[in-house]
Amino acid sequence: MWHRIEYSTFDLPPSPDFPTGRQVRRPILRLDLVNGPNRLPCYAIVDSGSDHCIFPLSFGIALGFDPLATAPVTSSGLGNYAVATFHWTVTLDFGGVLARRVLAGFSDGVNAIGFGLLGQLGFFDQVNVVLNYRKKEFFIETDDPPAPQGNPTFLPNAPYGP
Amino acid sequence: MAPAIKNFGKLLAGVPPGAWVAISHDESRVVAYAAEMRDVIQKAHEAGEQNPIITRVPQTSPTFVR
Repeated sequence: MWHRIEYSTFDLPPSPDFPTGRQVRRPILRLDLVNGPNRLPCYAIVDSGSDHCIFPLSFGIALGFDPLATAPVTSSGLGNYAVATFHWTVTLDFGGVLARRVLAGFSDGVNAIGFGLLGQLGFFDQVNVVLNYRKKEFFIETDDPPAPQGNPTFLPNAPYGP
Repeated sequence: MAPAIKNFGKLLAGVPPGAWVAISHDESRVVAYAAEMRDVIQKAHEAGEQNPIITRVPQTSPTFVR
């Protein structure tokens, strides 16, 4: 089943390069992160440039994960050359339409933007995505009926895994 | 598949840069904002919003390039 979603807009303030300010559009979804009894509603950007799904580290802590009990790995492309990223298994719940347990990253490098990034492993391997920026809309195709839930396939044997 | 707010700029106008923000579950209003995420969740609960949506206003340039 295809779901049509409108891009979200953000008003950016004036800057030397854009003296009158400007408006940008981003393909954003609302979802809940779930870890046992803990649930955190948030937003995430559909981002084909991310290798996997990643969220602010503060989200992981609010969900009950303990960074002191997990060895981080480094990720690139989050504003710094390498930032510590913790991987924990969470359920991404898209309003009951799609719920998937994935091994997602949680990084202080994403704290600054306050959004998650829905990347290749954990999102693009679960749905089909069509972006139509010019018409300000994008489409997500979910399995109908929903595919059975398996264990997260990303880094299943990593020592810092779930 | 739940869409996000159509216009974040309008909803988050007035929230200082760098603040964590709690948005009402119906996405109609900002319930609370604070410098720390745990504080904004507590403020939202105190305001009667038990299930707020959490996000943040960027501290620096809001342009997003990876």
